Amino acid sequence: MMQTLREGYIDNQHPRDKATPSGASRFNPFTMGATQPTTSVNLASSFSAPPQPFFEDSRPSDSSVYLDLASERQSMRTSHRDLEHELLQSMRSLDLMPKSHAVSNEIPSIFESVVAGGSMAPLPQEKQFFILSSAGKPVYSMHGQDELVMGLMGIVHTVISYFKVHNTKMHSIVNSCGNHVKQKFVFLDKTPIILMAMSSREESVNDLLQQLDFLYSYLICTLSRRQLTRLFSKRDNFDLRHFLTNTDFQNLNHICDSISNGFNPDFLLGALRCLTLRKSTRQTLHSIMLAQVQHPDVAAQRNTILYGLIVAPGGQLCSVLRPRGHTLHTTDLHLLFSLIFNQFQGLQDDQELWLPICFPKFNSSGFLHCYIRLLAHENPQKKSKKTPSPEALEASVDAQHEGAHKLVSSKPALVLISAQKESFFALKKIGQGIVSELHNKNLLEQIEAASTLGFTMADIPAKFVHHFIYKSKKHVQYIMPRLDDLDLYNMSASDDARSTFSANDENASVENDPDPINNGTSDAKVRQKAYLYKLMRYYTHIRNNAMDESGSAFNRSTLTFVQWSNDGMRLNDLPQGEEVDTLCLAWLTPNFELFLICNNGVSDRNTILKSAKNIVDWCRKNEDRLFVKNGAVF
Amino acid sequence: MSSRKKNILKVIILGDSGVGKTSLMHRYVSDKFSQQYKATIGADFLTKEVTMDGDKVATMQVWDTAGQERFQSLGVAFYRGADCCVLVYDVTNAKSFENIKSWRDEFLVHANVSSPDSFPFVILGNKLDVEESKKVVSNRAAQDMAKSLGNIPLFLTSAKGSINVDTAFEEIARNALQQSQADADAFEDDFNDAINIQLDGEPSSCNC
Repeated sequence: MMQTLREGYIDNQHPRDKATPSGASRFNPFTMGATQPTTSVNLASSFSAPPQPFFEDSRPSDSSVYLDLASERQSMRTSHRDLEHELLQSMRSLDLMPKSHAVSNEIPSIFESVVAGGSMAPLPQEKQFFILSSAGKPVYSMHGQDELVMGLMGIVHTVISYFKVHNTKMHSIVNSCGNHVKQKFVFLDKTPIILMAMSSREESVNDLLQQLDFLYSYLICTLSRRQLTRLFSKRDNFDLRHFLTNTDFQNLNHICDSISNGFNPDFLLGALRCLTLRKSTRQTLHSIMLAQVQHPDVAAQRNTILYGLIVAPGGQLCSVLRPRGHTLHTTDLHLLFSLIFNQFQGLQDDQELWLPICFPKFNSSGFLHCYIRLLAHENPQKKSKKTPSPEALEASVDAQHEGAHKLVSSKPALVLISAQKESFFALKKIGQGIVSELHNKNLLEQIEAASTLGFTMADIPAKFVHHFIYKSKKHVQYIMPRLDDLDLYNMSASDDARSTFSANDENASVENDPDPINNGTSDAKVRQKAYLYKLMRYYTHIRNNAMDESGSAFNRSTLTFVQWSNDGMRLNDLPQGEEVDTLCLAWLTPNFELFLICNNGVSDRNTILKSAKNIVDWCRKNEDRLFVKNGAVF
Repeated sequence: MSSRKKNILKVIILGDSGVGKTSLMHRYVSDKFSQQYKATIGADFLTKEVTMDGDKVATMQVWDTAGQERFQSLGVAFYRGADCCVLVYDVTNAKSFENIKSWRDEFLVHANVSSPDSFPFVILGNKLDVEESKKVVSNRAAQDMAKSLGNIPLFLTSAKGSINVDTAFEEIARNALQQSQADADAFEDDFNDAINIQLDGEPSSCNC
């Protein structure tokens, strides 16, 4: 079926010599044990005789079925008696596999182990982050109080010292039991700061390193590398916790929570999510920003403004204003958006923020200054909720709606960035110009509509696909079909942090009121949270199945299927009675990455590949709508 | 800030193998003593809440290092950022007493402390409970040594008999806190690290 693809996305022949020994065997699209899909894959690579016929018997022949013989020979030394036995078992299990023909719209839960009470909440011991100083003094820990984890931090310090003394390139420890990886510990030494991540999930070492780098980047973002070094250069025993503020700890909590328990492909993909807008709408946004910058007054003082951004809730990029030849790094923007949408949502519409931020990837030793303003479309605010009036009923409905709206979807934001500390008024003027143009052209309504509506699977001719993520490598942006209430869920974790501004927030009462919508749907919210968390783990897994631990793809182009099925043996690990027959696909090429999850019960790979191709075609055709391409360049 | 975190005091214990570093730490932290000798591998980490002078609360992070030579390569990495260094000798072991000075020098070489002259050390002469005939280090000699090294506080202790251990550690905590706070002086937190950006690097890019 691969041959029917005319476009060169797939390497038709996987070059055997290119494939890395450890990874090549993972190309096998074959049925795996429900909870430990990789187990069987490792079996295959350790098995002495090429088990190809077996796979071809059980699956339609497929050119992506491919085994690396060299790797098998290499790993023959490992005791394969047990493995043979296990393999035999899994062969048998294939026959037992229940052939469910019912296609459901829900995807099964395969990652959560059922905790007492049937709760599927993520376990705290599945994930831990430590930040400590090079002297071994605690700075931050995700779980557990500093006093409790201090001893563990001593051990982390010892491990790092060991790596240093022995001058190893190693920065991770994998604790595995047989083929099953139990925990991964990843260390990042950024003297005078040490970071450690522990995970017992599907994340690769590289994923965890990226997460640590993001936490470290947050510290730099708030302190700057120069200041951090200065603080510790005076004294190695410096206690950084005294220098960080409560807000910093809240933000660190939020980042860890969002990395660990949220649906946040930004970190996984290292890309920004882009808001789907009409080509003409986006063009207008660009030209509005450009017009302000090219205004003679502004143009006269060239270094005033560096960057401009319009960003929709959830960090969805709408428009970028940038100087020719300069771009901002994804991590820097993630940090900025994380601050805006978690810390500053309490800002009033007419409030402006002037904030020094260090963008670690742009320049880690100094601060840029950000003018931040939330954008609400001109809807005269009704604050009459508590004042009885002739239109009391109407007003209260409105107020309720507004309150709910505030929680459900946050507001878009305008960010203008300058390198000059004194340029607030210059940027304010530019900002006002942009805001009034946005109002005049009714663009805010369009942005808001787009950020709540997005697109759905129904817009794309892709049969049997439950959900997908498409990343355009060129734009370092990704898109995905709308997930209902994503904002509702993602924001819930940050309620504490968002109250930063509530003290001077006139609408604080609205926020503090028991929210009718929030309470009424708390069950739905829990379910939604579990669903999104599940989705995220699928994506993490399928992505890492197509990549090695260091995060690079095995080949220039890779197409991988992963399938989970009830194999009759591991049913105990599954939520009771759940039928599992889930197919996922990861497709990596130099131009894009596509990850898709099929509806439960779908196993026809030809159809899925066709759907995948349709998605890719659709994304390419609609590139102008889906991505910010060049942005407004001045 | 109201919710200020408790101070953390990093205390490192050094001394020859078998002088009772681990026993002292266990006596202090959990008030227990074991007859058995078990060499420390690398280091042990224990924490204890301490209250000094009635109101000052801190968390003491005790780094009990290995005295044995073969673990020394890692040892020096532990010294960094200590708030107080405890030097332990065995009153029945003359060699361990003579080595106090070299442990101190070793610490100062590797710990990278800002002012070596004022860095707080405490010397503990352990195993005070043994019978007089076995003691080979006289109190006088110990006091002279403590004085010569810069008036270092000296305590004669017994982890086994629980003599003087709490008193000694209270002194250690006090010294460590002093050291740790000596540096709470103002850090200038300006955001003056402006980035110098020249957008006009390529004049052709300006089309205005």
